[in-house]
Amino acid sequence: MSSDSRAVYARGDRVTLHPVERDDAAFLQRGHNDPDVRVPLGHTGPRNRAQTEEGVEEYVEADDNVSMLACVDGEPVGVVNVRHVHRDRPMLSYWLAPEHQGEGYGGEAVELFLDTLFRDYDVHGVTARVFDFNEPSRALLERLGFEREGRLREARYRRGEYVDELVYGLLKREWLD
Amino acid sequence: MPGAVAVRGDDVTLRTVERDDAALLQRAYSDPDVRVPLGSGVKSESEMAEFVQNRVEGDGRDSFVICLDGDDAPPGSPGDGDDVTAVGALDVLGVDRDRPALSYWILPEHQGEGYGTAAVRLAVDYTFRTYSAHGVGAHVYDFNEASRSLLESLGFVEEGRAREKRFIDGEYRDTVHYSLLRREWREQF
Repeated sequence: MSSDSRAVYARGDRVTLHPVERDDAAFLQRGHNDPDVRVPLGHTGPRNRAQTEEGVEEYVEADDNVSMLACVDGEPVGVVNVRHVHRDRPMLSYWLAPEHQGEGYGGEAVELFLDTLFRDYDVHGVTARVFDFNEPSRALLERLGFEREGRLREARYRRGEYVDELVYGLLKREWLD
Repeated sequence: MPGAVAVRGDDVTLRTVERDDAALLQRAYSDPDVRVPLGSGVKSESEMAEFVQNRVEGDGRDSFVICLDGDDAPPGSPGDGDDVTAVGALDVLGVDRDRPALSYWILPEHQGEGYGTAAVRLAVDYTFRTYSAHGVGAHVYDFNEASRSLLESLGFVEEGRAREKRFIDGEYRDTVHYSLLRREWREQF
């Protein structure tokens, strides 16, 4: 998919947000397979491109899902999405391809996404869950003003052991202030 | 062509099985040098296409293509010019059970280089790190010396033998059962 033909949903300083297309399966597949992404993201098991495309149809295109592909200079760098957007507290999740990490694109993408989310949907707040060991993601949420609301002890099996899952929340009024 | 990297090792990489890998997988259901030690029957191209969709993409199984990745090989799906060579395949079956099972094969033209041992080692690590399984198992036909040595070299313990269990290549063969427990993995790997 070329940058010229991609629909733009939102523009930031460096990051642009676009709808996720079925053609993006080869990139999306990274989120489910790359060991540096799938482990902190909470996925198990490999997923091929056909399964990834089906996933776009089943999850991305679901009525209560809002997913965006984050691009820099026309190249996909990651994904940001919320599930259950019509609930009081949609669930936020995001990932960045490892080769694009360390540049601040993640924070910029999530910030841009939340701006558009709170503007386009009447959402009271968002929740995000992150594993205890995932320092960069915790730092990103804290910088954006999320508050740590809870710790689910030994909630998931990751990297050969049970790890805690931290629950963060952000209210609309906190974002708009 | 295999897809994205799922597990990285020093010697081999495990990548996703894509629908166009059906021809590679068909070697295990046609080439006598692969199907006989595996005890597999014969499958056509269209049967292999169904196999990828129903079994590989089905629940409870993690399937991989065993690859040799060049230094510049991409982490995502490789293109024709990329330095990624498929040398075999590996499955982890029953991932949510107390004891998932490993099944694996290396193309005859790539055997003898240690790729099978490297792939199984990676798969054992992957299984114990991803799932809370108590052990991993494998079964091998008695005449398959190469595979038995592979498992034994990784510390798998022979637990039993089902006598004259399968008719393969003209005779009834014993099935030899091996396993590696999580605590043994911790000690040895």
